[in-house]
Amino acid sequence: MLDGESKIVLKAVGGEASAFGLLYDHYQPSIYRFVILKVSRREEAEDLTHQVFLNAWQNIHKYKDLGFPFSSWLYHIARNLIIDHYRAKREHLNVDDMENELMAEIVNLPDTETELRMEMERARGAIKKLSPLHQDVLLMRFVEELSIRETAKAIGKSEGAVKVLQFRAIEKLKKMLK
Amino acid sequence: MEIQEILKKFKQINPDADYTKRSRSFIVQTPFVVAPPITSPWRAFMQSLQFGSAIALVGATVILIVGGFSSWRALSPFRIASLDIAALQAEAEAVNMQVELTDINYRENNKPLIANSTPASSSAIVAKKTVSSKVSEAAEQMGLSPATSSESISIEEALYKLAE
Amino acid sequence: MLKTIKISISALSGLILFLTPLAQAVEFPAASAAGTDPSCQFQDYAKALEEATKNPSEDYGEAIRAELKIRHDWLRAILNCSNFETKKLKNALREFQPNDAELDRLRNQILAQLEDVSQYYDLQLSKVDDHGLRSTKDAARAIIDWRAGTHSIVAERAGNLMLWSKNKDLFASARARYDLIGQTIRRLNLMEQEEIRGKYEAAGKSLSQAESLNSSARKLLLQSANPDTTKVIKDSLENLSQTYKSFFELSEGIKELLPI
Repeated sequence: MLDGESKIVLKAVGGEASAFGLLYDHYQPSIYRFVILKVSRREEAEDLTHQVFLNAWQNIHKYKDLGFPFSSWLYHIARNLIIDHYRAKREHLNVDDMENELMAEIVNLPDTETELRMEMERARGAIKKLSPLHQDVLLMRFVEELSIRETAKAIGKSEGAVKVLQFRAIEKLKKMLK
Repeated sequence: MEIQEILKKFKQINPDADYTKRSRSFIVQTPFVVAPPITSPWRAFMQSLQFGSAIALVGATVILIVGGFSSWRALSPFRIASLDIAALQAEAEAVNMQVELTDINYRENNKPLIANSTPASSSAIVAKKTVSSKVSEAAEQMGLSPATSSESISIEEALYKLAE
Repeated sequence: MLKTIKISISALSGLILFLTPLAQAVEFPAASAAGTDPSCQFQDYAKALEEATKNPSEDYGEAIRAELKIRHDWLRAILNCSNFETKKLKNALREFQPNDAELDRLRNQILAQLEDVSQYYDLQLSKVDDHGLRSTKDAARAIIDWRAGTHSIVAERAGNLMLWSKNKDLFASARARYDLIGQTIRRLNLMEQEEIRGKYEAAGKSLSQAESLNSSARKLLLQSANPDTTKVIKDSLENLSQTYKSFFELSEGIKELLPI
């Protein structure tokens, strides 16, 4: 969470663009990462991430701070946009191209050893085989390090369900990567 | 390397700086949408059904379902064996004890987050009750009771203090 | 004789010299409450950490070292306590006999998962000394998450398995009690009494509901960790409790009708 987030959110809800800008600065990299690990293509990830924050800014007057982090709402928007994105896509996606674009992101990571990159590529390939819900829980919990509570809010499930989803996802991933 | 550690490495992926600059600039310059005025109680109610408020309703329902036990009156002695009061009481107490043990199992493994001052999750509300020594003993035998005593700091509390 | 005395004195001196550092190294743990382990007493660590951070040494390096030592010792204690907790559960589960092939398989599966839990804590223990100030905090946070996301799920499932299995006897007793009460009511020609019949049917209904929920609980238990299992077990028991309430009401109702 951003320091003093409640106050910043309140200002953003009141229409202060600079306050929303602070929220953008803090959360945009996380949302982008979540999106690109789901859709794999950089251009699509950029469009979708942009749309997440545009939607958030255009609907922030409806937002009510009920004690949940602002990020949960953003992830909620992101998930819905990704679902709509896949529904809207009619043409057959070349899965290899998608994978190659994401692998390029991984390959170009600075200060990352070859062996680690290979492990990341394998992990990414395995994650893609999980159900969307399992993917979301893994990415939120272990890449973005959201708490169980924040993740539950973002995906609209109970904390108990998140724990179980996480547990099963890790078990499946371990089996695939053996 | 453990799978969780590999996943953490994905945090190194970041958006392009130029793209970020353009996107941010575009968004903050987009006019702010003002909420339409509330014109009717129904509208006010619909607007109050925001992201999150439904959780409070579910939480209240869960509390009602999960909380509380029924109690029954003590009855006078009765001679027909099938309705022998002492036997019925013993069996009913055994059921009651299992309910309490189930609560202990749930409570010990679904502790609400205590680091934040925000309310505990609605699904984690089973109020801690004073349990009888019989129940404590049974919980101990099943490995359900916590390793820390009730007067001391729990493992979770200790970890939160260390994490501060 | 003198040689013997000299050897004895040297041996004794050696023993004393050997034992002294040992005595200094061993900390006798405080008396623990039943079922707790000495490593699970954390108040002193909390006080020590508070003291170290509020009144640090004027020597910055010394202050850091002091705080780090407390953090290492506390983290080690927490991990040892977590291991103790896991061991207690493993022992309980090992002693428990399901008398059912499927549940026995489940028991072995959960025991294997508890083994993984122990290994996680052992791994964290091996890393304690490598942590700096900041990484002890990160480690504590990671362990909180891991306990919530993995340990608690396995532990709850272990508890549910033992609870469900013990509940079987209660359900059998309740069903036997219900049948016996039915025979009694018919023998006393009271089944035509509307109030008695109503209460008996109510008891039957809640008992059937309890049995149905109990059956559902078993299915959930055999699935990979399901968050609803505990609730369904509790609901089945609450329906059973309701059944006994009806039995007590029946008892009172019959007493009022008969000259006893």
